[in-house]
Amino acid sequence: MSDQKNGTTMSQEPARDIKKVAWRLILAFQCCENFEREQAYDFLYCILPFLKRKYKDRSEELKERLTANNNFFNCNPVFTGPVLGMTCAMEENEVDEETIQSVKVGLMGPLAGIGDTLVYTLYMSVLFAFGAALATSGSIAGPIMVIPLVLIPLFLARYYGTIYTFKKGMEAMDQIMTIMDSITSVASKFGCVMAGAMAVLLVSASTPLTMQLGKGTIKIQDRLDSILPGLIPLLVVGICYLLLKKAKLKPVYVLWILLVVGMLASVVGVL
Amino acid sequence: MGIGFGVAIALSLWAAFCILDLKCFKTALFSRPLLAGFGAGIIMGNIPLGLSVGGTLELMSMGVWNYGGAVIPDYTCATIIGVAIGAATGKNFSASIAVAIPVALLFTYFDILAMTVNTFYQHKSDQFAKEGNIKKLEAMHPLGYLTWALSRAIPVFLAVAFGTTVVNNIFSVCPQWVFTAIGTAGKLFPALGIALLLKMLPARKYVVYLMLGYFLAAYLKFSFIPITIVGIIVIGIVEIAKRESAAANAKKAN
Repeated sequence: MSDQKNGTTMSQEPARDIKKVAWRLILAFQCCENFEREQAYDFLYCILPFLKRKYKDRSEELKERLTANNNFFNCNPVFTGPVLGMTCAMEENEVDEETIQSVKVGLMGPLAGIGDTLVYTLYMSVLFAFGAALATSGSIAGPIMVIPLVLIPLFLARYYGTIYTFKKGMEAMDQIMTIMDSITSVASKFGCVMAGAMAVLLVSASTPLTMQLGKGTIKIQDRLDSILPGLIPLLVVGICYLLLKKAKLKPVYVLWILLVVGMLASVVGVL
Repeated sequence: MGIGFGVAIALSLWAAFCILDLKCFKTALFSRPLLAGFGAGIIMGNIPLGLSVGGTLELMSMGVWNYGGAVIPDYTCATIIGVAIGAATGKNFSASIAVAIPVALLFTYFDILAMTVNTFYQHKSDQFAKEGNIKKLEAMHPLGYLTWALSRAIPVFLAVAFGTTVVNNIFSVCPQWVFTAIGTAGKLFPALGIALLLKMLPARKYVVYLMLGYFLAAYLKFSFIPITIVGIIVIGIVEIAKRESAAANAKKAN
């Protein structure tokens, strides 16, 4: 095949185009997200610079490629870089459309899963928990510190993810996946530690109930604390988890339930 | 005391920018309550309120992201409107939270509306693709910005421009216990975020790590930073042990 696969010199036009693709990913990726085909149009928009140049004079093939790339697509934006890079590399080498589409579909699943876990669940959640803790104690450092810590890694991941994968083609994909596996393993463990801690630190729920026993009153919350501190928050988290997993409720519904039950409990005096 | 027209416009523009950040620039930075609230606080001239409401709603929405494009409560506009109305009515924090929670839930409908409108663009793009019309494909895509921006700017504008009178009336009619009840319920919301996080993580496999975090926080009353440090140390030990045992096995095999 051509130079691109070996990662040696890249001719000027593809080099320029892949940068355009990266910027489109960064600035406009979910503009036209819709329920029917999610980010299909957005993906197509990103790779247009390549299709435009390659099929300038071959309009029948162009139409085919355009339609094919307007298929269902859904991936974590930060990790879509590699998929775009790979697709562009294949389009540049005029690989047949079916192969390109199957690679796209094959990649979007795992990258979305890893991406959502690493970026949102682990990195963003912990980072913003720190920032929010600072903000609630009145410090401006909270919101301000978060800004560069988000912008810089996300920009680097999206920009270089796209370009690097394009340059290295298939090689890059394997490398990226192996690194991802080890990062995900460590990061997931850390995420679990944090989630366990958050159950206690972020959910405030205690019962003001008291019981009369002989001459004295006992605070039920104190009793509960001596058995297991943070029991009520833990129960609430557990219930939410079951509702999401077993009852398969949508998050928005669980929120309504929390609102109603929480208000009732407060009114009745249990919470 | 209402919200002036200029301020209402500024808030709507800020809301539009934040939602574009979530959907288009995809940094999920300014759209988080922490920053949305900070910005709203600056616009309303009440930064402390912006910080406390933003921080609180951020913690409430912790772990709630639109994984795989799911529709989630709109904490962004909830924070902005909450801060605006709290500052304008002078009732500050409790008013902000009481307003924010229903807004978060109600605004999900605008999100759904925007996605539905985008379906129209998707179909049009099919047509342009069939025609091989790249120019139109490129020209139409940015219209997506407009859908998202308006889906929030318009409701936010209506809410802040006309909301203060409505909210003031509600406040004078509703007894205190309603607000306490909403506040108590709100404090439970982070549980959803945490449950979502647990769904995303291999919680069963790593339940010991969950227990570690829980006990450090519940019994030893550690805060986030000491827990992070202990967590890193424990995981580091586990990883090192894994590698040593793998090396030992490799040696045995040889």
